[in-house]
Amino acid sequence: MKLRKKSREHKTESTIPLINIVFLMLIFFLVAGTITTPVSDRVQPPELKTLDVKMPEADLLQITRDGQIYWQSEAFVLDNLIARFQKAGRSELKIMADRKFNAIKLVAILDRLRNAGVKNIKLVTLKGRGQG
Amino acid sequence: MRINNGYSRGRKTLSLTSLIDVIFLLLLFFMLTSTFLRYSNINVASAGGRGINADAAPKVVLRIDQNKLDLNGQEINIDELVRSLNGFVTTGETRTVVFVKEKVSVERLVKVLEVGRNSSMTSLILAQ
Repeated sequence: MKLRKKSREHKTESTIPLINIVFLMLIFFLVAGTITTPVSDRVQPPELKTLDVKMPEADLLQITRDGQIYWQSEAFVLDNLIARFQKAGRSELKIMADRKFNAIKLVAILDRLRNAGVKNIKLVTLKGRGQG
Repeated sequence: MRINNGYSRGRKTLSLTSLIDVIFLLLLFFMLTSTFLRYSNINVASAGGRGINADAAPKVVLRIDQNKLDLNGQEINIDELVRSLNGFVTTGETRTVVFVKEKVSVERLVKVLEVGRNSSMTSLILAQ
C-alpha cells in the first residue's frame, strides 16, 4: 500500500525529465544538424576529404548509377532537359552523379551541357570522414 | 476573485502541456529536416564540342584508368601526380587534358581531379 502511494507521486513528476530530454534532443539537432533541401537517396555521391563544405541547392541534376537523370526530383530525358536549359539561358549547374556511374558517360553528358551553354558545372560530392 | 483565481490556476497547468507540444513539434521539425551529411563541390570543365584545335594541341595529357594513371604516356602513381603536373607548369603549360578510359567510375574520376586541383595547373579539362 505504501508503494502505491509513492508511484502516484511519481506520475506527476515524470513529465519534467521528459521535457528535459526532449529539450536536450532539440538542442542537439539544432546545433549538430544542418537544414537541407531534400536530396533523394537514389544517388550516392562520391566522397572526398579535402574540400570545403557547401550544401547543395534544390535544383540539382541527379544522375543515378544506371544513368537515369532527375532534375528537381522529376525524371527527365537528357535532350528535353538540355532544351529547357538552353531556353532558360542557364549557365550554371550542379550535378550529383552516383559514385558508381560510368565516368565516360558523365563526360559525354558534360560535353552536351557545355555545348548547350552551361559552362559552369560543379560536381557535388560528400565530405568523407578522412578515409579513402 | 474566486473566478480569477481558478482561471489562472487552470491556465498554469495548461501552459506546461502546450509548451511540451511546441517543443515536440520543433524537435520533430529539426529531426526531419536536418542532415548530418556534409556536401561539397568540385569544378569540372569539359572541352565541349569545340574539340581541340590542332594548333593548340594539348601537351599534357592525363589518362585515367581503373587502377592506373598515365601522364603523357608515362605510368605514374597518384602520389606523384601533383609533382609531375607542377613540373609541366614550370615549362609553361597551364592546361591538362584529362581522358577517361572504359569502366572508370565517377568516384575514381573525382578523386583524381581532387588531387590534380592541388597542383598549379590552371585547368583540368575533361575530354572524350
